[in-house]
This record gives sequence, C-alpha cells and structure tokens, in this order.
Amino acid sequence: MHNKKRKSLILTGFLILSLLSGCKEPDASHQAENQTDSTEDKIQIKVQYEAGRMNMSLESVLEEKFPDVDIVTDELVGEPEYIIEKEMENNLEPDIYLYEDLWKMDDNLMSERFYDLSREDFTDNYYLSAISDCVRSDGGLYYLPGPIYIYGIVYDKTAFRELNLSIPKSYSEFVTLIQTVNDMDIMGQEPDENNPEQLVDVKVAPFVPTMKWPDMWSIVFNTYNYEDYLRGTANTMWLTDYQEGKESMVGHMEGAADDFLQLFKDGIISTDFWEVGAPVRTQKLYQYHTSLMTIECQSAIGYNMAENENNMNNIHEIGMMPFYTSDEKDSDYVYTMPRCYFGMTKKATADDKKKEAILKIFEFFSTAQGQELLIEGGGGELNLLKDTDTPDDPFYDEIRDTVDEGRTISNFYYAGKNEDVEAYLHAATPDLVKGNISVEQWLKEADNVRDKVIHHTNDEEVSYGTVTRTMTMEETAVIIGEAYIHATGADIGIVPCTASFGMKFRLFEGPITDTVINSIATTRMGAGAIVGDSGHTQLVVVSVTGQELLDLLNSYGDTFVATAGLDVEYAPDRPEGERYVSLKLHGKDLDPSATYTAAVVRGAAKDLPVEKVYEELTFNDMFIRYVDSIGGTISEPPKSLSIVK
Amino acid sequence: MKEQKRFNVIPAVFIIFLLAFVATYLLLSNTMRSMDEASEREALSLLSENAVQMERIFENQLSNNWKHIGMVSRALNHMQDSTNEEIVNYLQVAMPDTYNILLLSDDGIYIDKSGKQGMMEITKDLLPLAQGEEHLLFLSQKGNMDMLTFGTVIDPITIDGIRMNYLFVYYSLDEYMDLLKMESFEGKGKIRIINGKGATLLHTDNVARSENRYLFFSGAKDAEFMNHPIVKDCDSFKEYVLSGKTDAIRMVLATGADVIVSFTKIPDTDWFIIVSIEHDVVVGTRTTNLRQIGKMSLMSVMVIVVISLSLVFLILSLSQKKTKAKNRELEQLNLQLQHANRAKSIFLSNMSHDIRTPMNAVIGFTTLAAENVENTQLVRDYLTKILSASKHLLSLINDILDMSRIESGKLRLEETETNLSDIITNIKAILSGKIKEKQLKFYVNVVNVTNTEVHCDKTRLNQILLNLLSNSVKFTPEGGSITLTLTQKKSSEELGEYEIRVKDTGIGMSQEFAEHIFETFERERSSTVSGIQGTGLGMPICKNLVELMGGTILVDTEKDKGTEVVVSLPLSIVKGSKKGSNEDLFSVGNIKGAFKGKRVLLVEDDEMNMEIASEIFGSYGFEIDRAENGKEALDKITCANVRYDLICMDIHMPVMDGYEAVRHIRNMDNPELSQLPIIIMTANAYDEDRQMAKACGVNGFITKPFDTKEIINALKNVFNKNIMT
Repeated sequence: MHNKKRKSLILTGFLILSLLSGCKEPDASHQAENQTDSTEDKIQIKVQYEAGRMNMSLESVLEEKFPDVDIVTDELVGEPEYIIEKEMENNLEPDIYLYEDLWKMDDNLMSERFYDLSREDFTDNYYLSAISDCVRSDGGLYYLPGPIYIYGIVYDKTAFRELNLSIPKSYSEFVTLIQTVNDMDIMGQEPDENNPEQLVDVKVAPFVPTMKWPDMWSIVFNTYNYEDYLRGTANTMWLTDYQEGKESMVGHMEGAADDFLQLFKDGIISTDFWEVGAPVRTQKLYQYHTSLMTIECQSAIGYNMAENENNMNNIHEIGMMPFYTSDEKDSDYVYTMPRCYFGMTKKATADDKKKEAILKIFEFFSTAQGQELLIEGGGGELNLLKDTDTPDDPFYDEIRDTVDEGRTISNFYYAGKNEDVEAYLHAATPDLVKGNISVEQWLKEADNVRDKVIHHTNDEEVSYGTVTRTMTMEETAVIIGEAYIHATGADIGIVPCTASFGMKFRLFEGPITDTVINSIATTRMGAGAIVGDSGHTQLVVVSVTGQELLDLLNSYGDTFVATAGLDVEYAPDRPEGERYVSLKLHGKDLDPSATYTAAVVRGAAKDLPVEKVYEELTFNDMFIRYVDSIGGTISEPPKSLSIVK
Repeated sequence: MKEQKRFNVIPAVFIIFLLAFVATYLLLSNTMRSMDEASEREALSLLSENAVQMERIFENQLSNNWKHIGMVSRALNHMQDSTNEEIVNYLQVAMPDTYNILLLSDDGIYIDKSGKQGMMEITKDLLPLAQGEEHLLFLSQKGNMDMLTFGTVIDPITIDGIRMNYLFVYYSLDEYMDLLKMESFEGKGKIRIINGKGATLLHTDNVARSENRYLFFSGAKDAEFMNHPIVKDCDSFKEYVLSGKTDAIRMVLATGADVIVSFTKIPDTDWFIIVSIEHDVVVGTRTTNLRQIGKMSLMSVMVIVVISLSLVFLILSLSQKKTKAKNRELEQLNLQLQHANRAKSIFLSNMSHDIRTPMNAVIGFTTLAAENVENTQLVRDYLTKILSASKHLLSLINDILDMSRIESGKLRLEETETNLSDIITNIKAILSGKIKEKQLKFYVNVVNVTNTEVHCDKTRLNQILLNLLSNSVKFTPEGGSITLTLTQKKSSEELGEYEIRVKDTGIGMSQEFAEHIFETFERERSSTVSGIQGTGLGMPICKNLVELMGGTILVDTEKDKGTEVVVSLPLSIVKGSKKGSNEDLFSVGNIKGAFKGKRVLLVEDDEMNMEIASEIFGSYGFEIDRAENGKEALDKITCANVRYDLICMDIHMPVMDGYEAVRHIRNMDNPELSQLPIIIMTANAYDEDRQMAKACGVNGFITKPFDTKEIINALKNVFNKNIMT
C-alpha cells in the first residue's frame, strides 16, 4: 500500500500533524504583547476560537473576501470557560469568539460584554426556532449558531474497493466486517512511535476511533443505546427527570451498560482507544491508511483533502456511513452536535469601522458558504439557515437516507449543561470493562456526580500555591520554562508563546489550581498532559549549540520564544530574525559553537537531537512540583528578560 | 385736548389687542388640546380594536386548523381497518393545504402524508402531549422553512404494526404571518405573538429592525407610560399584558420612540398578540396640522390688529370663524376617516363571524354525519343543513367577489333579450318559501307596462331585485307586507324608462345610517347582534349595478315604519317584442327520467365532482359514460361503437384541458361528431370564462357548485334546439 518516498512521507506526516495541532508558525496571535501590529492600515480583528474546532483557512479566506481586515486568530485551549472569564475580567477579550459553549455562558456576562445581534438583518437567515434557542432572558441575541456537526463512521472508500469490502447494513454485518479485516492481515506502514522518522510495518486496523474524550464516549454510548434506552416519550421523560435529579441510572440504564460492554466483546471498540488522540486516529486513516474506519464528522472531508493534496500519487476517497445499532430495520443512526457559536464582544464595537467590518463577516457567516468556513476541516455541513439545501457531496451518500428520515440523535448531557457525568462514565469505562467496578457501581457513581452538579456541591478545587500578580504572556512563558528546567535539570527551558507546543494563557493573580494549570498548559491537547499523541507533546531534553539556539528562536518569526535560564535582550520593534539582541548564560554570552542542554516540548524542538524523553511526566505534575519547590508562591518571574529598542 | 384724547386711545388699543390676543390664544389652545385628547382617545381605542381584530383573525385561523385537525383525527379513528395506503391517501386528501402531516408513535416513529416513514426525536418540547395535554402548538423547521406545528393526541391507529398516538400538522409560518400583515396599518404596525414568558414566537418583518425584538418586554424597560390608571412601569406593564387584558397604552421608550402598544390574549393558548405603532402614524399628522393652523391664526390676529384697531374685532371674529370652519372641516374629514376605518374593521369582524358561522355548521354537521353514518335519517338531516350552510357561504363569497369585480372595473353587463314579467315571476317563486315562512303579504303591481321584452343583463337585474326583496323579507317582521311595483314611465319606441319600487313595512333604518347604506362594508347591526346574516355588500352592489345599467337608486326609510327603495332604469325595448315566454319543456318537477335513452359523456378529473354530476345526470335518465381528461374524452367520442347525445366537459384537467378538447371536437371531419352538443361545467364563473367557452363553440355553460336549475336550463337550451331542428 505504501510505495512512497520515505522522506516525503515524514515531511507530509509532520505537516499534517502540525496542521491538526494548530501548529501554524509564525502565528501573529501569539506575538509578544509589546510587539506592534505590522498591518496598521487594515482593521485588525482578533478572532478567538476553540482549539481544534476551527477551519484553518478561516483567516486567509476572510482576508481575501474582506481586503480591509487583518484577521488575527487565537486559540481557546484547555479551560475555555475559565479563560473567557479571565479575559473578560481583565479586558483582554478578543473581538469575535467562535466557541462551542457560548450557549452555556452566564446571562449577565453575555448582556454586559457581548453585542446584541438581534437588530441585524442577517439574523433573519436562520430558522426562527434556532434563533429562539439562542435568545437570552433579557431578549438579547449575543451569538448565532454555526453548522451542525454530524458524527458517523468515516471509512476509506478506496481501500474498501481495493479490498472488495462491502458497506455493512446492520450491526452484525459491521461486526463481521471488523472480523474480516482482522482476518485479512493487511499490512501497512506508519511512523514508529518512538522514532517518528522511521516507518515501520503495522497491521492495518479495521476501526480506530479516539475515545480519549468524554464527547466521543457520549457519541458511542448514546447512539448504540438510543433505541432502547433514550428514544421515545417514556425514555425522554426519564431523561428529563434524570437531569432534574428525580431519577436514577440504576433501574434504567443497566441494559444500556450491558449493551455497551457488548461492543467491547464484539471487538468494535477497545479500551486501547482511550489512549488514542485525534492526530493518531487521523493520521492512521487519512495519511498512512493503516486503519479503514474511524468515528468522525464532516471535518473528515477537509482532513482527507489535505492529505490527498500532499500525496497526489495515492488519492483516497472517503465516505461516512451511519452507526448500525442493531439488526433491525431502520436501526441506522448518526449523532449530531452543535460545535460552534459566534458572537462579537462589546469591546469590538468601540471602533465603528471594526464593528461594521465584523457585522459584514457575520453576515457572511450567516450564509451557506460562510457556515462551511466555520467547520473544522472545511467539509460540507448541515446548518440552521433557511432556504439552504443539504450538501450533495458523495461523502454523504451512505447517510443521506438516515438524515432524511430523521434518524439523527441530538447531543445532550446527563446533567443539563454540564458534562461531568459523561466525564466520569468515560473515565471509569476501562475499569468497568476490566471488571474492576460493577455496572451498578458505575451507574450509582454517575448518579452521585449528577447530584453534585445539580446541587452545586462539587468539591472545591485544590490550591497548589498562589500567584501574587497577573503576569504577561512572556512572563508566564518564562515561568513555564523555569518549571522545565526544574523538572529536567537542563541549562535552558524553551517555551514558544504559541499554543503549538508552547503555552497558551497567562497566569492571573490568585490560587494555582488544576484549572489554572490547564489553562497555561504547554500543549493544546488539554488535560495538562505532555505525554501521548505520538510523542510530539512530550517534554524532551535536546542538545543545542549557541548558534542553533539563536537560529531556532529566529525561526519563530514574530512569535516570542521564552528562554528560561538565560538573560535575554529582546527588541520587539526590530525586523523578524533580529529581535534576539543577546543571550547570556550565567552572565556570559552564549558560545555559538558550545553545546548546551535545553528542555522543550518535542514538537517545538524541530530538528534538534533529543537526549532524553520524559514519557510519563504530565504538565500538571511538573508545574505543581515547580510551584512547591519555590515555596508555593509565584510573585515575580526571574529577571531574565529585558526589552530593548 | 385733541392730543390728550389720542394719547388715551393708544393704551386702550394696546390693551384691547392684548386681551384679544390672549383670548384668541386661550381659545385656540383649548380647542387644540381638546382635539388632541379626543384624537388620543380615539387612537387608543382604534389600536385596541385593531389588536382584537388581529387576534380574531389569528384565532379564527388557529381554530379552523384545530377543528380540521380534530375532524381528521376522528376520521382516522374510523380507519382502524384501513390499509396504509388508504390512510396515507386520506391524509393527502383531508388536508391538502398543509405542508406536511405525520402520524407519530410513542417511540418517535412517524409516517407522513407522502407515505414516508422516519424518526422524529421526542424532545422535551413534545413531552406535554405524552403527559396529558391534548394540543400542542410550537415552532419547528421543515423543508427549509419555519413551520407552525400543531400536535394532538389521537386514538391509536396501527400502521405497519406501529401504534401511532399523535398527529402533527405543519403549516408555513410565513403564510400565517401574512394573515396578520394585511391589517397592520398598511404595514406600519409591528405585530408580534409572544408567549407567557414574553418571548417573541412570531413577528412581522418590520419588527426585525428593532432591538430586543425577541423579548418584547425588554424593549419597554425604562419606558414612560402615559396616562394609564394601572400600568406605571415595565413590570406592571408585563403583568397587565400577561393577565390577558385587551387594551392599548401609549408609551415613550428609553430610545425616545413614542409608540402606542395594543395587546390581547389569544384564547385557549398561552400566546398574546401585540401590535405596536408609532404615535405619530396614528395621531401625529393631524395634530401637527391643527397646530399649524393655530399658529397661522395667531399671526393673522397680530398682523390685522397692527393695521387697524377697527378691523381687529372684525378680523378676529372672521379668523375665529375661519378656524372653526377649518376645524369643522378637519373634524369632518377625521370623522369620515374614522368612520371608514371602523366600518372596515367591523366588516372584517362581521365577515369573520359570518363566514365562520356557516363553516362551523359545515364542519360540525359533517363531523356529526361521520359519527352517525349508519343513521340514514339523521345523516340526511345533517346533509340538508350542510347544503343550506354551504349555499349561504357561497352567496357570501359571491357577494364579496362581485364587489371586488365592480370596484376593480372588471364587471361587464351581458345584455340579452329579457322578459320582465318572467323575471318577476321567477323572483316571486324564489322568495315564496321565505315569504310563506314569515307569513308576509307580498304584492306585485305592474303599472303601465306596455313593453315587457327588453334588452338587459338578466342575471344582474335578477340580482338587484333579489337583493332588494331579500332585504325586505329579512327586515320585515312576521305579518308585514312587501310590495313590488313595476312601472313603465315615458318611453320611446326604442327606450323605456322603468321604475321598480320595493316597499316594505319592516324595521326601517335611522336617517343617519340610511345616508351610508350604499357605502361598502356598511350594515346597521352586525349579525352577531341581530341574528341576521349578510355581508353588508348587498346595497353597494345594487347601487353599482344600477349605475352600470345607467339608472338610479334611492332609499326612503323611517325607523320602525319601513323602507322603500326606488330603482329607475332605462332599458332598450326589443323590436316587435311580444309578451309572454316559452313554456318550460322541462320543469323541475318532471325532469326525472326525461332523458331516458340519451347518453352523456361526463369529462371531469375530480372524483367528487364526477360523482355528483353522475348522480344528477343519472337521475334525469341519462346513460353515463366518464372520462378523466380531454384526451380520454376524444378517444371515447371517436370510438366507433358509442355515440353520445351530450358531452359535459370540465375546463381544468390534466393531460388535455376542456377548451382544447372542445376545439378538437369542433374541428373533426365527421359532422356528427363535430356538432355534438357540449356543455361546459366549471368553477370559473366569470363572464370572461363564459365568453371564452362561447368562442370555443360550446352549447351551454354551467357553474360549480352545481345548481340543478342551471343544469336544467342548459339542457333545455341544448335539447330544445335539437328537437326544433
């Protein structure tokens, strides 16, 4: 299956991984706060979007369509709600939020800080029922809905044709398909886990979904159990009562748990999928074709297109099939989730020109073409606009009847607006599968979590220390670099001010909790973990000469890269490539030819040789240990950075 | 001394001027204030009435939809043993105007009117139906459009082994809102329908431009509420509206907008209709005019006083007179406008009632008939009542259409040779039943009529007489009398001056009302009060028709004494005419079986119409043959084995329409076929349609719904000629 030049594969692999990880260098959104805007004649509009949920061509398409604007993108990563709250508190909010959970935000915050769109004509483009869902208690319409994501089983059509595989039409046929592919022992090639530059032979897997996150768990659990435990009036009444704390999982969902476990027994899913991150799943299906199916939404179209463009010699066609939940007629379903709402902050309206420009952008977002731009990967979409037709892309062929006949399941949470119950059930599933806990325990604990949510008795977060004043982005990056040095003993800690293998958010005055640490996490993969995802987000120690270090820093263009352990003179006003004026270690200029050790996330180290990998170290553990080592208080960052002209 | 006298006159003049100025100012201010207040009161009352009107229109539509849905669900109850196809066919036929209908199971599985099965998510919004609510009205989206969706619980019906418990019917929201747009002050009024929480469910397009359009009461935050005894702030306003009151309130919003908001609750729902309109749109223009007039008057006073003291009093007096005259003129104009608007509102309100009443009878008796289908006697009784209500409804619709055609100048007279005596005999026959029923005395006097044969539009003359006499019958109490007098006044050989007087001893009219009797939409008492139904269009139609014929119409009436209507018509006399008419060859009584042995081809695509026509023609003795379109008819006609004596042809049909089929027949080589008698039967009843049919070469024209007399006349014309030849 793989007759490609190895070098090309590696390069392609890195590029797609970079793309999926939001590694888009140099990223103007993460320029140091004291840097100036290079496009002063244009209206600069700052767009903040949820990490991994945005069409990467959004910026270029908008700038082409609206030549007067300069779009500056920024990712919401880790703890979006906390970040938005802090941004609002500190007047740091962007002009536009593109965020899945805007609908969950507090009414008061909305009316105080968001612009009311209800007077705008383009709101008429939406279904009135969709608009009604967005209207807040004060009558304000502070955000509008983006496209609806449809989740199904995305499969490699080309491989299916080559292997003479039929698309299943029932649960049994799907199980048989997985067994058949397993029995075929098809071999492919993908990068070695420990040495990404090396391609190794692997057995092609029939189905590799990621189950790393609770939302994926919801898709699988709710879809396969929909018919018997969630559909219809009686089940909807149960769910409504459950969400209000009047019902219990115990007594209603035991069968659902058993059916869920059957998926494991039938070989459809496995606890291994709990460790599979989105990039791994994606590279297997679209890039190396070492799996034939995954769970994905329309974004698959964009991912696949990017891969095909990178590898014109091996074009693969993909399609989406529904989930077959039983062998009964009409048991095919797809799962739907609203994944993006867009709103304008009141801060943006202070400038009339900017406000006008944003409203024009929103008007565009309120068209079928604009909605397509709001979806990750840029695939066709279903939206809540009137007078638009469903896409006729062949990708949808297998699910067209399913959607047309209404077998779509809308996403919901077992505790209303809160995902904690799903988070627990997801996290505890491996224990359930292994028999460490019983079905009853699993369900009872879910009830307890639900009770905590609805009675607001969630445990207070543990505080690991205190930040005595709000830090700048650069200062926060330096503090993270210090933590790297503390964890590894390296000479230097390198932290780019970018979400791509760098850092995201600043430290604010107040307690240091898990939420705070997650919000500054080094990678956008969340949960504070450095481990996982093919090693690109692992902390490593590299050996670097003084010249190599300077080259690395300059390669980031206008993105500031913190270098803890060094005294740095930085000139933000100078041209890119000349901004690092001097780098001193222990008071002496770095020797261009001398070798030093530097701690850095592997993805940010680029081609530097890795000396040591910290496989099991999580960001949270690393940062907590650092805070503890300095006595629990972060008052001032080390005076290592000097801004010069 | 002379100087001293002059010196004393100046302050006197000044004081008189000042007094005159102040007096004039006060007088005008007071007058303007009074008129402002009156205008304000009138505007609020008008707005309040408007909200009620909106509500009635909306409620009426909802109510009709619910009744229709109720009928369908009852009918479904009788279809337990029907096949899927039969049920789906019934859904298509039962509610053709809906976007979609679907039957839904408790499991969320549905079948819709196209027979398609699918799944519908049972969301929380739908749960009330499962929890005991009978009806549910909500917004949804379907087919790229916003929908107003009606949901109801039905007696379970099993389809494909699935128990369907609910019926959902989808109507286009745009069509619903179009109903309201018509009456929103020429589109200047903003109409919303809000729910019990104040959230806007529906609104007209122009609401979209205002802030907080989705939560109505937010817009009233910090508003100043003008002169209302209860509503003082936003909270009390919200409470007042949501308590279900019908009222109108003037308020100045925080934005400075001065608006009048009227509101009322839609019965049997948790919904409210709110109409808001800028204050100036309703009262502002007139107030501004009045103020300008006042200012001009004051300036006039000042200028005149300066010119000459002696003219001050005179000019002041003149000015006051002028002002009063202008005010009177404006008041008059205002009253006329108000009157016209009120009349229109009342007309709509009456129409709403008048159309609903027979519709209720039709729907109600149809339902009862369906429920008692085994009881033939009862069903016959119900059908008689349905027929009566339908006829009444048809006459209402005809009146409205006539008026519309008259007003748009489309109505043309179709003059034919007419016998006045026949007309009177005919009218007498039509009204005899009601006259007898009310024990009225009916006299017909014919005075100096030497020429009964005239050229005129027989149908329209009939209509005039029927209208006048029907009014007399309606408004004359039992035992009273009605006199119809036909007089031929001075005449030449060609033209006769005819006078028709219809005099009754009925309840008469007030002089005030009599002055407006020929205005559109007038009726002295609404049918809801008097129990007498009518559109109020009868007299305007009469007047227009009479004037179209070149005549005049006058009314002489006195309350509680009676009314006399005098119609003068110039009619051209038929040359060499003689009195009398042909004997009916086929009277209604002996028509049954009269055409035994004759074969008719009925060409009609609508199954129901075909059935009715078959029944009627069958009862006359015809052998019936059927075709569903023009093409099929041509095939049958040209078939060598069958010969037809008559073809009855619908116009609008698939494949080949009636006109085309007639043209084909008339162009056939075989004269036996090309001269076949053809009668058009159509719902297109206008003169243009008759002319078009005539041009195609048809022998007769009958309209739907079928009127047996019309059919008999058409048959008479066709077969008379044939017999003669």
